[in-house]
Amino acid sequence: MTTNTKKNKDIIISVKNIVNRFGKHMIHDGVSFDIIRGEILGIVGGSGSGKSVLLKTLVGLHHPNKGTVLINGKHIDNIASFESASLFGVLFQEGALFSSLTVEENITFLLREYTSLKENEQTELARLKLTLVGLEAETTSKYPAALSVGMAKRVALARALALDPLILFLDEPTSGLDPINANGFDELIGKLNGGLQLTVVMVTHDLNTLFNICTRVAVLVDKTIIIDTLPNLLKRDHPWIQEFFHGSRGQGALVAAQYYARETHGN
Amino acid sequence: MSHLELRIEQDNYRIRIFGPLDLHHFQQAKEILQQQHFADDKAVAIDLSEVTHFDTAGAAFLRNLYHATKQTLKFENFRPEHKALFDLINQINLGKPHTKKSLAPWMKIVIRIGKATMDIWPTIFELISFMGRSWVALLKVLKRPSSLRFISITHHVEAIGINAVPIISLIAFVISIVLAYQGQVQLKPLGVKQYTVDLIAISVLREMGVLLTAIMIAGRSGSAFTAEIGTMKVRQEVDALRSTGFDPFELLILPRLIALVVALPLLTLLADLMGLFGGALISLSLIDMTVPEYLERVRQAATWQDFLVGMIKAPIFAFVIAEVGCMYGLKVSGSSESVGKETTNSVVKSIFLILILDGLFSIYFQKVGL
Repeated sequence: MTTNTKKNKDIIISVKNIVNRFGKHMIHDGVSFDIIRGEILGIVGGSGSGKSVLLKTLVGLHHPNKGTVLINGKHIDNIASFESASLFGVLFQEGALFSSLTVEENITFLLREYTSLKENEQTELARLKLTLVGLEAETTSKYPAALSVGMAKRVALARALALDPLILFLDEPTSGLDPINANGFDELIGKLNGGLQLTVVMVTHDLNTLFNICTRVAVLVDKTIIIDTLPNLLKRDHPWIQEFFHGSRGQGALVAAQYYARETHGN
Repeated sequence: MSHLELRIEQDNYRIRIFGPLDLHHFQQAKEILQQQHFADDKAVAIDLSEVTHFDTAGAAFLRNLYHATKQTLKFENFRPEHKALFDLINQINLGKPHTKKSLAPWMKIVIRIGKATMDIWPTIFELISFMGRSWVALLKVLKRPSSLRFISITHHVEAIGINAVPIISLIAFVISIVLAYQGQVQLKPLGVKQYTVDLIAISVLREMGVLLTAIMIAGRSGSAFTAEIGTMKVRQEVDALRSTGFDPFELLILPRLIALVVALPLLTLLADLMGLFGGALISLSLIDMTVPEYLERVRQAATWQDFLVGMIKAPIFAFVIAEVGCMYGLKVSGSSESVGKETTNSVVKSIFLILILDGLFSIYFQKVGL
């Protein structure tokens, strides 16, 4: 009994029997899994396997045809809007920054709406978040259109973290970044995961990210999900998983991950 | 969200913090701590064992405390996960805040007026050079008529012309009814009620028909041109065309220009007819005319010249609307906000230009006796 309650407490998101279909086209047929507090979960799958739909379902932007999503023990439909902002943050693929607001206003906007902080304190905390994700002080007054892809993603990450959520959802965080930036982004996610006790759920194609920082990986195949740690997944003989991880890119990422582990843990 | 109260207790040189130290209690923590006073600069211990919820705002609070107080601070009983977060925040080196020098309000007004004034000439030059480039593109296409995008033109004629038939008819009809009604109210007491027909016929044919249509189309289609081309610009479709050797003038602008120059005179003709129809309705019902009487009166009052004066202006207005709409479309840069801004610009500028041109035409036709 005690072990059972303890186990329940460690589960932050519980997905039960999700069915998603568009017209006659079935995308998810009874997808169930749990996400554990503090882990970094990578979601992979081929194009059209429903990764983005799954992510949208998890954050309540898409209503599934069947099934439930419980976040922190609460049904996603019953989470009030102000609550959701401090429960989870989402980093959209293109950043989705508000183009009419400056970088700083993109973040203070949320603080102004959901907290009782004074203006100078909002600014202070926004700057802190921006520096935390690795942006220079002079970017704060720029507009999103003037930012590079990498910078825009970092600002979007700072915005997702504005209210110190428990869970961070990332949609292809490293797509469009050069390898140096992508590595930096991986490191940053790892750092935040440790420091802020964040649970991270990400859809990604980036094998390096999967090998470098993900605790567990969820594979969307055959309209359902296979979720396991990476070493265990590598042993599975499902053809898609084999091809995904054991292709030349997968092997390259595996080697790169060994370097990465040496670099980050060496220091 | 925790509903616990934040409480700070002071016992000599020892401060204990109870409850959540987070984003929602940041303000409160700051206020409470400002009331604490220490006589000398002995070291102060801060006991954090009772902190329930701790986030980056809490860490920022401790960090500020650490850097701002004179006393040496010691944090005690830090929970390991809180300590990790604090260390992460504490190592951040905030750069110098980037403050802009703000100007006096009156200076801002002066600067805005100055900028807007300085902007007039570049805009005019830009428009003229844009028109020049369109003519060059048109001549190039006319040299090889097969390269004219005929399907694209017909598509735009449908969007600009045919789809606008109901709204243009309605507006011309309603405005002429209002004009005729007001006219007969004024003219009846003078005993010259039949002049209402002159008023309608001349004003609709010379001015109202073409002007209303042009303004309506500037709002309806000029804005659409800017938004369409602007969105293509944002999504880099225009760059894609250029990189594959296509001229956006030939592909995007000429079809719209030609379609509008074809459609606007036709819509003007429609507006003229609907205007006369509206006038007829008032004349038959309020000033006791029969249909033949009304038609005869129109024939006497208005000449072919009046009709031509209106119709000549239509293609010229069409040209202006299309050029301004497309030019602002290509001026869009980067963001979706820019699409909105340039669309507003395009509609305002094209209506402004139409009115100015109409005034110039009035004077010109007067001088040449049309």
